[in-house]
Amino acid sequence: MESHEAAPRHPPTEQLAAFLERRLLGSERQVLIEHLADCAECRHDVTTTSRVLSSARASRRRRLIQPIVGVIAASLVFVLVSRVQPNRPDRTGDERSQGVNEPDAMTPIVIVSPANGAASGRNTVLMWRADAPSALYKVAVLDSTGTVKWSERTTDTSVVIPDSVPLSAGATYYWTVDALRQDGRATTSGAHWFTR
Amino acid sequence: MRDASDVFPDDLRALLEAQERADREAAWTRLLSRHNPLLLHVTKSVARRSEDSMDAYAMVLEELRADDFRRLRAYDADGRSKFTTWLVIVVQRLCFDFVRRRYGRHRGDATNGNGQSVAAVSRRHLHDLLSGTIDLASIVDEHGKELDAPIREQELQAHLERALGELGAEDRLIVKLRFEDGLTAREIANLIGLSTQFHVYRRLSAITDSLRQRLAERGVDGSAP
Repeated sequence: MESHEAAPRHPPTEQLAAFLERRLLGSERQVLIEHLADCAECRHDVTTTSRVLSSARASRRRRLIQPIVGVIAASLVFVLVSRVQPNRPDRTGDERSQGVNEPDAMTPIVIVSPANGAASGRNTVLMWRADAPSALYKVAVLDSTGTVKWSERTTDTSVVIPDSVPLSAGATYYWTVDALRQDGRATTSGAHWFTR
Repeated sequence: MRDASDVFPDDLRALLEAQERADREAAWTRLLSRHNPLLLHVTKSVARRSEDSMDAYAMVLEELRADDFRRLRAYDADGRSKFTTWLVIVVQRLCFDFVRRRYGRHRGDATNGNGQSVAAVSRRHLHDLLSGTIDLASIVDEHGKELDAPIREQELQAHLERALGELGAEDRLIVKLRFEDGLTAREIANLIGLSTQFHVYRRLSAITDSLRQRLAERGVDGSAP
């Protein structure tokens, strides 16, 4: 229906990109539209790019929403776990009035790896920085609905998720580390996530 | 104006301005880690088979690095578009060329689920629209097909080409996008900058009416050769 001879000079790629972002105006836009009407190759460039950018935007939206749902679910689980924390000694009146150790008690556990959103294969290693000497850590891995897929207690600062844990490829998982110190106080890492 | 970092990302600037090899490699790694999801998305959308998309991805990285990042150095940031949009166009071209080299398929030759060319099916659709109604008399038995049918088909095609040539550029583009490239009305609206797909339907209806009238003036009153 058309040939390239009808439109021998292709516009620069930057101009096609500007057209896709609706940044071309007036005569420049008109000239490009005339070219696109007669050039199948440039039309192919803009139509396929438009489709790819639309689908990339859609998958980015999905990626943004999914962690929010997961974080909410993981937070709910954490709140429930915290409420049933046993043998938590009450602080003295002096500690309460002077706010002793208050900032330290609120310091979250620092996660080392995997980084949030990182893709992780088999034998995923979860690592964090030591919170306090002889602290006991509870690690929990949850799916996007907040279901605990695996949990472990350790005094180490890393764990390997065993192969036997059924994690689906491509799915996003959330994990938290709660530390129980020898003095009975607790802290947490908050929810982090990785993809399998 | 756009955010300067969207138009000319710092990582790209660092890569293109790096004097030392180590700095260049570090900047390339940073640029890649930032745009990797988009590059993978493009390669997967063009080369749908897993092994093809990974080969295409490796080829894209090689091509972007080639000749001291020649392709990236060609980027001429004029402040109107994002670097990522430009990058998608460039990477797509590389991927389509890769698929064409591997399978010998022209990059415009999209097919539908039945293996028919989208362009051929869409062109037939335009012919049918222009005929207005389907004339039973035009359904010809293949065995009894008249010998001059191919010549008449060519004549019909030539009339259509001339009628299309008389349309304004944007109308002609809308026809091509719909009937040559098989885009949906929503995709056309998004591309041309019309508010909704209904605006596209209205434009298409007016365009086909106009084409039908122009063809009738040339003595063409149906889609059959």
